[in-house]
Amino acid sequence: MHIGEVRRDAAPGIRGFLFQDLLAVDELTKKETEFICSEYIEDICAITSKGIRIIQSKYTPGATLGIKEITRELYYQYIKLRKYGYDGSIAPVLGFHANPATVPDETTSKGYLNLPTGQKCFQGTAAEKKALVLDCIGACNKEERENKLFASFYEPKDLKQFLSMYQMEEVKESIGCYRKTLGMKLDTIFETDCCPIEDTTDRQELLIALATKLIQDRYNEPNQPNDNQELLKYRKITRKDFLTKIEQELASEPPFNIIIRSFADEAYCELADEQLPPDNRIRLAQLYSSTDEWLKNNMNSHLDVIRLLNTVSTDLNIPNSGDRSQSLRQTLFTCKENIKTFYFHVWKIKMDLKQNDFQECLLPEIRNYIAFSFRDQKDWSKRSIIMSSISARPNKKLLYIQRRVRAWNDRPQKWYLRSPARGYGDYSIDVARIAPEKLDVTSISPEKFAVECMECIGIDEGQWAIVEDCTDCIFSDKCKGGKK
Amino acid sequence: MSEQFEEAWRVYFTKSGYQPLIQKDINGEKKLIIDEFCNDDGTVPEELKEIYLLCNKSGIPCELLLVIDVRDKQQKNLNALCRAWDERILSFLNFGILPGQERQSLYLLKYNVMQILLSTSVTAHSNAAASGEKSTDISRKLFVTIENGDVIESERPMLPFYFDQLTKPTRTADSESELEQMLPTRDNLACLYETYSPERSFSEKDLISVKEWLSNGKD
Repeated sequence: MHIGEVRRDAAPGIRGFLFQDLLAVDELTKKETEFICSEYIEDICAITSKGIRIIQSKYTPGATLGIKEITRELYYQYIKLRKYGYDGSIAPVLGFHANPATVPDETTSKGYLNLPTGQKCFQGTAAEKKALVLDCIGACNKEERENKLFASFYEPKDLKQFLSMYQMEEVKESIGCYRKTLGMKLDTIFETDCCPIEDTTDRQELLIALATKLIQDRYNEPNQPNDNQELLKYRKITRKDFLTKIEQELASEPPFNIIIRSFADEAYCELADEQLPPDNRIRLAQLYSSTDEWLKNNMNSHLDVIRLLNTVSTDLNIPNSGDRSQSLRQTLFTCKENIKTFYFHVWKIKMDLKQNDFQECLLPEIRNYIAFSFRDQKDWSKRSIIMSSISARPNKKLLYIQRRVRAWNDRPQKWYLRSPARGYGDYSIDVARIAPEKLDVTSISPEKFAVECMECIGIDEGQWAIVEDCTDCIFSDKCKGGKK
Repeated sequence: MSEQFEEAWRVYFTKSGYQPLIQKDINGEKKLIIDEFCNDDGTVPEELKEIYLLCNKSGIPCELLLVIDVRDKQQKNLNALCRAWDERILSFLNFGILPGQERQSLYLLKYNVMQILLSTSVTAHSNAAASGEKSTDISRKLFVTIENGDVIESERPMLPFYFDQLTKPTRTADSESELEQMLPTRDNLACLYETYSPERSFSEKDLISVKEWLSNGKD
């Protein structure tokens, strides 16, 4: 079915995935779907009992889509398949969340496609047709390829058929809501009697997390074959396999990293509507995908989970490594908002620093918590912890955090913690030593630490386009505390 | 400590400038607005009998006493209990705030927090109490024996707030004469009998006499 063409892959980390992955999950929930391929032919290609759906995905909230470009791309795939010999039904689909769009009429489409006025019905054997298709798609640039193919095979009935099948499938909800909706949809498919996650919302979140990861893993795997036929086998996900795999994962012990990564997905979805300059949009996507990668490799054992909970929890107790997986998983769900805030903090600080890798400045040798050192970025602290935030009963929460942190080796010199607390604190006080102390970062002892209130770092809606100068605020020894 | 003595202490502290921080509402429920010292549900811990705060003349807090009743606690748990209170105290010093005070004003309190642990006689003289009292971590700990509802007389002078007013001077003629014999006579060392003022300096002769007296004393 697929015709040899350069492998389509967006640059790693810049895929407009998530929305695309969700569309793919949506296809797989439909009974008529046999299998799908993500990042193959088009963004998604779904083979159903009725034919093929070639889906292009666009998530650009509030923007008006370039219908010309999209129509050309879909028509290109349509003609290519048709002329190469596929005679089943082909539905070109635009799955989108943007300003409303409609299928263009015939005249407009002709203009878009730069079609000749007459008609050029290619007369030849099937083999000759195939050869011509291959010749057309061999042209070096995209526009040339498209024009050549369109002109070579133009028949008004093809365009009519194309337009009659062309579908605009609008997803009205924002990506975050769409995710939730699909989670619910999946939940109705499975018999969930044996699921270890009893809470409905948690289970639905886990389901959508498992589903998107199954899809992402297909194109994120290293060493993918170059040959397109091989690649197809690799990328193909049948509905049957998909459902069986999710069911199995759900019934057994879902890996911790899936849950933790799903929170990163959710956090990233929440930022989808932020108006960012293009370079920061790309940076954020790279930060998201490197975070996902790091979590995948580093959040698997009980100790790994405790390392994360130590970093983000503001509660009195967290499970210990001897506790059951169930208890750790439960705590992860309880701490979801904290974990998301942690991601937001890391991503925003890193965007400010023009870093695009989660692991940059990370101190992997510190195991009690997720430690960073921004020393080479002019932070005075050589070992820091990026935490979450505290709102209700701050002093009680601060006591819980302090109690936990004091028990660690290699305690952090600075806490990046969104809270009313700011300034310096002591890990211990020797009442026999009452010499006046200098509150000076140059002389900070291992028994002292600073709390950075994070007021200068905006992570709320609408604040992501702002680039902060960390040297002047959170890395400085003088907290501005909002008095900029 | 019995309620009667609790009230007596309260009156005495208030007179001496200490401010009790635990209030009672109309239902007799204890109220404390320092979150660090409260239970998770916001109530005042059973063992915390009172918190007394002393401010200096400029109104800056300079001493904090936590009166904690450990009479029903097991000895083996004492250290953990003191450490748990230290954790609360440290958190209060690091992040806390006193009603009507700036955060910065807590600085003077840093080395002046004391846990006064009301104990049974056995507990007060246990190894656990001794090691607690030796610890200089975060706060001073003082174990005092409670009998008949109050601190026993012999241990009262250990209390930081135990001033002269609380008790009558116990000067006796005997001890006075004993002391007199230990001191040099007025004829030999008149300088030691004069009121000291910073302007005044000792003469060479005075210093030699003091030295002589001290070295004689050694023998």
